[in-house]
Amino acid sequence: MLNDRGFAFDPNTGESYHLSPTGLACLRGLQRGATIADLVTQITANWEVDAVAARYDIDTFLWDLKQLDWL
Amino acid sequence: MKTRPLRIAVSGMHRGENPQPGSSIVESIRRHRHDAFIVGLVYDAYESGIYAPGGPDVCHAMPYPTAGLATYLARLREIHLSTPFDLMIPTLDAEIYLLAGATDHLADLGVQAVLPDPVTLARCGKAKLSQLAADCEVPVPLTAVTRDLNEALEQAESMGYPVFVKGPYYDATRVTTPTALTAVGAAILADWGPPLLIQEPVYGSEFNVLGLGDGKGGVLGHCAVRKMLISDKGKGNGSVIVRDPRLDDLTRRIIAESRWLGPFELEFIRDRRDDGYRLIEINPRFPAWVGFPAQLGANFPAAWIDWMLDGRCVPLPELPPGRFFLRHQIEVTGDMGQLSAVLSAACELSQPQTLAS
Repeated sequence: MLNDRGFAFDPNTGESYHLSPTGLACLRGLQRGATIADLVTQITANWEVDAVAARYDIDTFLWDLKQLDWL
Repeated sequence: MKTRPLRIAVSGMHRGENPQPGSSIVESIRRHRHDAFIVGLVYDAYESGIYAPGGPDVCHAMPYPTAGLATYLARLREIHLSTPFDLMIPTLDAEIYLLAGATDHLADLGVQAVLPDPVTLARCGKAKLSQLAADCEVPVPLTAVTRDLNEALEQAESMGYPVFVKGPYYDATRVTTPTALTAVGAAILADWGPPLLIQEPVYGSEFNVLGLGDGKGGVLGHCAVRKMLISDKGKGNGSVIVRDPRLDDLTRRIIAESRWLGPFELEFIRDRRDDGYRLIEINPRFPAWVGFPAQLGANFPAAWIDWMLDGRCVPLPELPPGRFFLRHQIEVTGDMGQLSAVLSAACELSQPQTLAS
């Protein structure tokens, strides 16, 4: 369960999370089937960050999602 | 021909800091059976649900279950003579342990109550929970069942502090030293007698599952929640509905193994060390939050009454994850006349609440 304000609820665990705008953009992108390269392009186009830093943050975010069994 | 409204006796009307299930059960019954006549069985004139809007139609004071079965049944007989009722829903652990083997005695009084048999009840009790869980491969925390303080201290020493100390029915207290264990253990033994349980602490989110067992190993319906807000007494002051297939599977295994009959609440902790659930306790009754799913369309008390009357009930719906409750305290009003009537004999209540002498 994910809304446009970045509030996410995991129905299995009952835990809720608040995603940052970039986290929300990544998760929405993944839901649409975007690749990591697509996500880097999207993040660098919309936020003031270079591709290396964006890639690092996206990898960290994907690791967090894996820990939550969301991926 | 007009049929007489169903008359149901319910106990456990306190709704304070440590709420009992009775008031939520009454509220749930009234959602389904608007004309039900509710007889409140109370132990204390200060049980707040006595005075709540929509509360019992009549209240009678009861002796505590510790007075023994003969005294308890004698009082029920008196009450039943003055205020007949058809069904009884005991809501407190001590009542259920007292009455589990006495449904025939209740039937002799003209009262129907459906309860788990004493063997099943004992098998699901705290002292034997580890064995039941092993039989159906459900993980539980390491637990030692002890008969006295000396044995409890030895077990705690070997397990390593901190540990939880529990009595046969109520309360779980975390202690960090032998001195604390002695004080808490002595209080539990004085209140409830043995055994004293010493349990390793498990840390993680707490989950509760409310349900109804059909006595043949099946689950008539269940609702699982994660506690979001926990009071300093460990009570869930706010919980959210979850739907985790692992929790559903554990619930089905426990109920299938125990062939549980009637309302139950399973308490789990999801251990943060391995993300696995640990069964902490089986409560042989509805929990105080039973009114929450009833508000969303899964009315467990109403279904249980249908089942008691007809041996069947409409399937309880699965509720959507994400719906939550927050416990909300309000003030209810009464007058000293009501209070003294509850203390002395029967208190008949009407809305607005006045006393019928």
